[in-house]
Amino acid sequence: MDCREVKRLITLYVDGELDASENRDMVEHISMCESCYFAVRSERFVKRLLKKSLNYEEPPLGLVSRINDMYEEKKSIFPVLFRFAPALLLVFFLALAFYHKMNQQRLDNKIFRTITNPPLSASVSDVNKFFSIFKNSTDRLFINKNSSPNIKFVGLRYNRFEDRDAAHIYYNHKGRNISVFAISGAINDKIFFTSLKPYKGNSFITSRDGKNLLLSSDKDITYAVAGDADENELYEILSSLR
Amino acid sequence: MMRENKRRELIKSEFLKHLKDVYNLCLYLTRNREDAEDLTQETFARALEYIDSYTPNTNAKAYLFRIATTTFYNNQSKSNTEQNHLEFRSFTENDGSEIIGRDLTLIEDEEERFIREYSSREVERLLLNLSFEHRSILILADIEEFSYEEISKILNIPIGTVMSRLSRARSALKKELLKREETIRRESNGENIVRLDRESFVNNKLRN
Repeated sequence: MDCREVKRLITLYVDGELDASENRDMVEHISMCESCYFAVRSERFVKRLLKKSLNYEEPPLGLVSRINDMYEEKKSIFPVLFRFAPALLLVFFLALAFYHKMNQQRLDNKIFRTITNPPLSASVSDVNKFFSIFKNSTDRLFINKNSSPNIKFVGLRYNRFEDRDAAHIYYNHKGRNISVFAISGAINDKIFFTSLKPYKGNSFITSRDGKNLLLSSDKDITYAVAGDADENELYEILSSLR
Repeated sequence: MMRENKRRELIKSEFLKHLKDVYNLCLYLTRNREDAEDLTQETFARALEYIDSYTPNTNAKAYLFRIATTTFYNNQSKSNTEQNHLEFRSFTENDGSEIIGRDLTLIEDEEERFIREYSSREVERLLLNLSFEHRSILILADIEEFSYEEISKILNIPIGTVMSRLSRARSALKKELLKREETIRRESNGENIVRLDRESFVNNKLRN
């Protein structure tokens, strides 16, 4: 390595950028050549002067806080809401559906339970009440001239249902027990009877625990006919009662 | 989504660790505090804007320095004025630091002693007299001690250019040093022994 090459490589040498063999040649040369030795020292001096003399100062607090603010994640409520929006919506609709379902089940459950577990006896006052309330329809209910010869009236009991007057009437049809639940007025809000499927005309049918329930509503009275009979039989009974 | 957020948070904290270094680089680039603050803020804003292009744990400081120097260079080109190249105010307050290091008896090494002769403010002044290219490369190589490869990435120049520019920058700084020594010599009539020592050092070593 000659002086010209050494001078060319001085910067690299001082910055530790030479490879091992170049470094060795360099050291060898400057240990013998005073001029190159001083050149290296002078270069290194400048490097060390900067490193040792220059002190970095602390950035102003205002700047630090501005940059920290800039880097702070915006803790807005909206992104969080947006992130959970699908889940929240789902929960909302599930809750709505559940509420609805509960409401729906409320009435038809009640009717079903009432009609499939009717009270067993009726007192005289029950019968009186029943006649006073269902006066117009009593003939139709159990002394229908056109009623099927297969249907035998067994008994009745006055009742109340959802703040309305109601009555249980028991029949025997072809040896099977049929109960009719008569509720004053119409139940128009069919939304509460989801498990009831449209059957014929104003009628709806549902079945639970092996028993069928036929519900039919007109403006004066709502009938719920239930028993061991199939839906066609129940409809036949209902038609003969009207 | 959570993982992505966590990644971003990690990068942010990595960036913020270098705030002081970035600010000081900006100080030497812009040569005044107000512009340095603006440049630092712009640098961090850009780093945030392009946060996804940074891979975590890959030399965040070099990444930020690259943004800072590029931003500074672009701003300079836009205004097209390296404002008052030689007329600038030193940004170091006169806090008496000039007399620090005057006790020379404890220092054996001649070079070390000579280095201590210079106050931080003096060196800062010398450095600030250099061009943007020279002062930025000296900060990167001599203060931050980045490798040539890293510098070439930060400044977006070939390694050969890093080497030649660094060599010229050091020569320029040597010239500034000699100028300063010249002034001191003229002012002091050579009465001070320390100054004579320094003079001979400069003459012998720096002129090579």
